[in-house]
Amino acid sequence: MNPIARLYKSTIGKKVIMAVTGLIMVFWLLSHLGGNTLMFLGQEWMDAYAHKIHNLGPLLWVMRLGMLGVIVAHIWSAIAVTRISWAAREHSYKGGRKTNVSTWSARLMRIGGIIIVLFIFWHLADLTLGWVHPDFKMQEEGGAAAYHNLTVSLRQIPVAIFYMVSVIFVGLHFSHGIQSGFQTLGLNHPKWNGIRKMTSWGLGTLIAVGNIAIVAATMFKLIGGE
Amino acid sequence: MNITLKVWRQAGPKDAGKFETYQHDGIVEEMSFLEMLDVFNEKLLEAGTEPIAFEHDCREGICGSCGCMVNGRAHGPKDGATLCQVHMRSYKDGDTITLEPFRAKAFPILKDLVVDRSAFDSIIQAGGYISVRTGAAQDANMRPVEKAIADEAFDAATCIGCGACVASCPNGSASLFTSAKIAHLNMLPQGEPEKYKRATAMVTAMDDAMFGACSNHEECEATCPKGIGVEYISQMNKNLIWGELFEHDS
Ligand code: HEM
Ligand code: FES
Repeated sequence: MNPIARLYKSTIGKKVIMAVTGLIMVFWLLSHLGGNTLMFLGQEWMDAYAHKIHNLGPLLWVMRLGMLGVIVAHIWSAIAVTRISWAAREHSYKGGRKTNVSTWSARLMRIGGIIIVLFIFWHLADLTLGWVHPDFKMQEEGGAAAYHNLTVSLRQIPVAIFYMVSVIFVGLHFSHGIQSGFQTLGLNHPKWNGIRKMTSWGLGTLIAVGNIAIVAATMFKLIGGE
Repeated sequence: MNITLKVWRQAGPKDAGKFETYQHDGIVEEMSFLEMLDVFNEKLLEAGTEPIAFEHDCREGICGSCGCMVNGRAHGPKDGATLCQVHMRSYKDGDTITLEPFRAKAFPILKDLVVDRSAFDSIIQAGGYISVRTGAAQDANMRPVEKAIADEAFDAATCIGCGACVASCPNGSASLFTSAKIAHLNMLPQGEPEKYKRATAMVTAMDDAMFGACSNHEECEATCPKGIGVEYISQMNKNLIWGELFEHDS
């Protein structure tokens, strides 16, 4: 049997898949944020960046399909482990169970995951495919597309709020997910545990605050002018 | 002191069970928690009712028999203590104490506060032993073991198999128990040669027994009466991952 399939059979193996795919997504999302901060430098920078990505050609498709595979594997395993754990907790405490150390971010992983999936669908329909965008321009039709698409979309208050709420859940997902992922992969060492947890919270805060800054600045017309 | 006891009463495995509320007076603070229950059971017997079934044996925190949820926390309010090591001085007059059995799919309730923890035995039977014949005892210190490693293996070996980790886990996972039982063998020369085989066998048995998956909430570590830490879970994962990917023959 293929070693990955053999590993996947156990609950731990499923968590390993989640940890690896999760950490790939963390890396990807941080790069995504890095690219999008170009919004603050103005249209020229943002569109030049968007152009570069589009010019990757076949490589872009390799990345897109790769990310799709990563997301599907992550969700697939998330559903599998959640079902196993729900079955194991079939009999809940009638008098309640006290929470001693578990964090909100840890307890919101599943709800947050669902919100993130919905967000990914909307986000792609909005800014990649243009299906739900009021005035979508394809990248090919001239250089101005990315900057224009983003400003128009985020000037819609409900959309901007949905973006901000979603990235808060991404931030919470990071805060537990990064430290949890390392622990799952066997990377727990008393000397590094403080750093592992702090990095997790730090990157969680960064991804939420960074993305909210872009969305809010656009919504309040600090980006994109009148 | 007077205490209100809210106790889960369930006549047998098939019974639905429910909370009963009782008044218990004349408690002195030097009583251990289990003595308090003993005295209360005397009263129930005198009144001709069925006493509360609860498990206990050593009453000194070493056998792992006792334990239930006390006000929603496994083994009661004290860190690093089994229920038998809790004394009534932890409570004050007028308190309400809610007692509920450890719950998990893998721990069916037998009666009142007593659950069947033999799922743990199935995990041990799968690999919690050494299968090489080591012969007669060697001279002491023939195979030196680094002090730090010996200490860590010993810490893992302090697990008494009480089941508090499963009871406290939001997912009903037995990861802390299984990892401790794997680690105390895998870290020492006697257990090391079979470490990958052992990790796979015991994790498989854990999954087969219908325990949940670890989400790293760390509730198990917080309520373990022996203070066993989640680093053993990480170590178990490392053994399992490495074994499945690189050391698997056949
Ligand atoms: C697409 C929708 C997503 C869903 C449905 C989802 C769901 C989940 C769930 C339920 C868990 C907890 C599993 C458990 O321990 O019980 C989890 C863990 C994790 N997620 Fe996600 N997630 C999603 C997206 C993401 C994204 C975008 C990232 C990256 C930023 C990410 C990174 C992680 C990491 C690193 C973990 C920790 C894995 C571990 O504990 O070993 N997830 N995810
Ligand atoms: S009765 Fe033995 S540990 Fe409590």
